Amino acid sequence: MGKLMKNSIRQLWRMKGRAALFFLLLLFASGLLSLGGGFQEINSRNMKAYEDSFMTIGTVEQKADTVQEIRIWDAGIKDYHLYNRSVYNTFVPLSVLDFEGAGYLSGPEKRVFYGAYIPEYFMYENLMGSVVVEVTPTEDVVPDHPVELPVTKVWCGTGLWEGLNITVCNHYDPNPEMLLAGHTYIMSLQNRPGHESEKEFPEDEVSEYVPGALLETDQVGTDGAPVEDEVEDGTFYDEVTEGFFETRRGRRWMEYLKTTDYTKHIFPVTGTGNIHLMMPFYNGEVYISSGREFTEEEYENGEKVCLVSETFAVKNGLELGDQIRLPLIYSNHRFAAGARFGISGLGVTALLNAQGEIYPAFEDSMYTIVGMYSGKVGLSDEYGLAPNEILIPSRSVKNSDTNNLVAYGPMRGSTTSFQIENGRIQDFMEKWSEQGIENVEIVFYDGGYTQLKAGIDNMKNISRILVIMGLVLVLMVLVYFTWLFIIRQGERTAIERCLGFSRKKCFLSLFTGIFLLIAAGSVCGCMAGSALSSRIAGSIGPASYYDLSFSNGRISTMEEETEGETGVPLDHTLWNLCGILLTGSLIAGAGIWLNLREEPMELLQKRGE
Amino acid sequence: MNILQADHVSYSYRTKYQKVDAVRDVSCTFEQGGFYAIIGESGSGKSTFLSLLAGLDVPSEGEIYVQGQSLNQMDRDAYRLNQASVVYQSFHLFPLLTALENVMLPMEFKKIRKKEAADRAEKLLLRVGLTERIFRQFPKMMSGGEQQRVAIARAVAAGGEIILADEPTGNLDSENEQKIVELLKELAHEDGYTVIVITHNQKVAEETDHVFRMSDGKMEQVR
Repeated sequence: MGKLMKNSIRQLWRMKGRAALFFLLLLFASGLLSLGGGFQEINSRNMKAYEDSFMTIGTVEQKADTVQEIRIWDAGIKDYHLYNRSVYNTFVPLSVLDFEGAGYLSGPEKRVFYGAYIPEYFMYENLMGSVVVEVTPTEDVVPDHPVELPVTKVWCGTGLWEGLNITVCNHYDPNPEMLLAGHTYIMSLQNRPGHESEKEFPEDEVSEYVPGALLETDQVGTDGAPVEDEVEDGTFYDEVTEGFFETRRGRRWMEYLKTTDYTKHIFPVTGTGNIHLMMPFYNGEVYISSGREFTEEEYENGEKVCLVSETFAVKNGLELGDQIRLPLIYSNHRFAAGARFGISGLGVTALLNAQGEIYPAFEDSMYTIVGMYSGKVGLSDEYGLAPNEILIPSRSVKNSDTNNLVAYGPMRGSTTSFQIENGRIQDFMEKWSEQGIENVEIVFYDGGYTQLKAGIDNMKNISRILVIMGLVLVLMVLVYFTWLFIIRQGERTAIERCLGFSRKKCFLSLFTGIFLLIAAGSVCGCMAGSALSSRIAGSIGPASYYDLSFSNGRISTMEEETEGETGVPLDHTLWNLCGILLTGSLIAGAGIWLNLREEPMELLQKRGE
Repeated sequence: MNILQADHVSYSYRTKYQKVDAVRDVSCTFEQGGFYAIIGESGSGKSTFLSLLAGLDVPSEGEIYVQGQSLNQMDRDAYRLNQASVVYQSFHLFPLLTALENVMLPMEFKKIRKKEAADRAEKLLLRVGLTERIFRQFPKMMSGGEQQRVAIARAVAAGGEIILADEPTGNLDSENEQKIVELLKELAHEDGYTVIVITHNQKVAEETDHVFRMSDGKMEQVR
C-alpha cells in the first residue's frame, strides 16, 4: 500500500503543472462551495432566529347582519342619545376556519374569559359611587330631574349616612313614576358628576345619583339568547313595605347585596392555546417579565398552570411556583376581558343567574404560577389585557360552563385569532376566499414580515447561487481531472495489468495519488471558504440582513441571542469536505473502474490486429 | 524442459458485426531456454495467441499449461508478475517514470527493498546494453531501441522465466533490431529464459531456434 501510494504520488508529481492546476482549481471550487454553504448556513441560522421573532397572526371578526338603532333618554338634555348596536342573525361557528390548506401553526381559537371569585385577593377594593340605599321622600316627586331625597338606610356604599339628602335623577327614563311621600324605596344607584350630560366641565357641577346596576341576570344560553329571569322587572328600585324582604323580589335584593362584595373579588381569567395569539403579547405591549410561558405540553394537556401580572403578584406576595385557587363562576363567550373590566378593574357583569342566585363555581382548581407578565394592561381596550387578568391554558378548564354563561356572541377580533406560517397570507386568503364566506373578516398582522421577505429571499438566493456555482465547479474540476489523470492513463493501467498487478493494486495505484490531491485541494478550499464566509458575515453583521424597523419588541431580544453567531460551525465545514471527498472518490473510482473494465490488450489497442 | 504448452487452444470473440475465430485449435510446446518465433500476417491471430499465453485472455476452448499446471487454475496476475513478462512493439513504458524506476517497479511490487531493487535495476540496464546516462531519463527522452531495452530489462526484472515479446523490433531501425534480437537470444541461450517472439519479420524469425507460422488462427511449426 505504501509503495503503491508512493508510486502514485510520484507519477502525479511528474505532472507538476497539471497537478498544481488541479489543486488550485479544486481549492477555488471547494472554497466557493464552502463560502456559499457557509453563507447559507449563517444566513439560515440568522433567518431562523429572525423567523422566530416574527409571527403572522390573523384576527377574525364576524360582520353584523344589520345595525339596530338604540335610543337612551338623557334627562339632562331632555332628549334621546342615539346609539347603534350590531345585530347578528346567527353566529358563524369557529369551525368555518377549519378548511383544507389553512395550515395553521396555532389556533384558530375563540378565547373565553371567565370570572374567578377569589375571596383571598382584592380585584377592586372600593366600589366607588355604587350604592344601595333606602330613601323616604318627604313629598311626592317625579325624579325626571335631580330631586333631593333623604337617606333612611345605607345598605352599601361609602360617603353616605342616614339623614343625608342625596340628589337622585331617573336619568334614563323619559317618564319615570312618581315617588310617593312617606314611602320607603330601596334603590341601586350610581354616583356621577353633573346632570347636564353635554357639559363636560360645568362650573356649578351638581353631583347626582342615577340608576345603578339592575338586579336582572345576564345569563344566556348556548345560542346567545337571554335566559328568562323570573323575578326581575327591569327597575332599579322597589318600594319597601312590610315583609318585602321575604318576597322573591326582596330576596333578590338581599342576594344582589351579596354580589356587591363578590364584585371586589372577581378576577378575569382567560383561556388560550397560545398567548401570542392575544394582541398585547403579539405586539409586545405585554411580555413575560419573570418565569416562563406555557409549554406546548401544558397547552396540549391542559395543565393547571397560570400566568399572572407582576403587579398582582407583588401586591399579594405571590411568587413563581405558588398556587392560587381559581373558582370559575361565569364565562363570557362574547367579549375579551379587557373590554369588560376597564381601567379600574371593576367588572360590569351581573353575578346573579336566572334563579336570582350568585353563580356557583363550575370549575374550582388550584393553578401553579409559572410566569408573570408586565406591560400595558387595563387600557379599557377590547384588545388589551384587563388589570390583574390571569391567563391559563384553555384546555385546563375541563367542566361545562353551560349554566354559567353570561354572554355568547360572534367571533371578534379581540377574541378570535390564529397563527399561520410567515409569508403565507396571500396563499391563506386565496384558499379562504374559496370557502365563499362573506360575513367574516380576517385581518392579518405580521410585524412587517411581508415587506422584509424580499430582502431575506435575496440573501437566500445569493447563497444558493454561490453553492450551485461551487458545486458545478467542483464537479467540473473533478470530472475533468479524473479524465486527465485516470481515463487518459488507461495505458498505465494496461501496463500495470500486463506486469501482473491485480485489479485492486491497479485501482490503488491510480486512486491514492488523486485522492490525496483531492483531499489537499478540498481541505484548503473548505477551510478558506469557511473562514471567508465567517469574515464576510461578521463584517456585514446580521442586522444588515434585515430591516428591523418593522419588527416588534421581541427583535431586541433576538439580537442579543444571535450576536456573534457569524461563524460557520466546524461540522458544516466537515460535511462540505466529506461531500467533496466522497464525490471525488466516486468520480475517480468510476474512472478507474472504466479503465479496469477494459482488457489490457484492448487498452493497448492490440486486439484485432 | 517443457515450460509452456498450448493444448488445442481456440479463442473467439464477437465484434459488432460478426464472430471472429482468432485462434483455432492451436497446440504447441515451448521448452525452457528456447528462443521461439511466431510469424504470420497481420490479423492471423498471433498477438491474440500471445495474450492467451500471457494470461491476459482466457481461451474459449483448450488449455494452456505452465510447467504442467493449467493456467486456468492459476492466479493469472501472479503468473504475469512472477513467471511471464510481456514486451511490446510500442514499448509501453511508464512515461512518468525514469528508466531506472520503470525497471524497479515490478521489483518494488514484489516487496523487494528499494535499495536492492535499484541495484538490480542498474545491473539489468547495464546488462541490456544501456549506459548510466539513461538511468535517470524519461522514456520520451530515449530512442526506440533504448526504450525497448528498458522494456526488456523490466521484463527480466520481474524475475520470471518466460518473456513474451510482441513485435519487439517493429518500431526499430535495422541496427537496433539486430541488437534487440541478439539480446533476446542471449537471454534465452545464456540466461535460460524461454523467449517467444511474435514477428512478421523474416530476418528476426531466422535468428530464433524454432518458428511457428499462424495463418487464419491456425498454427503450424515451420522449423
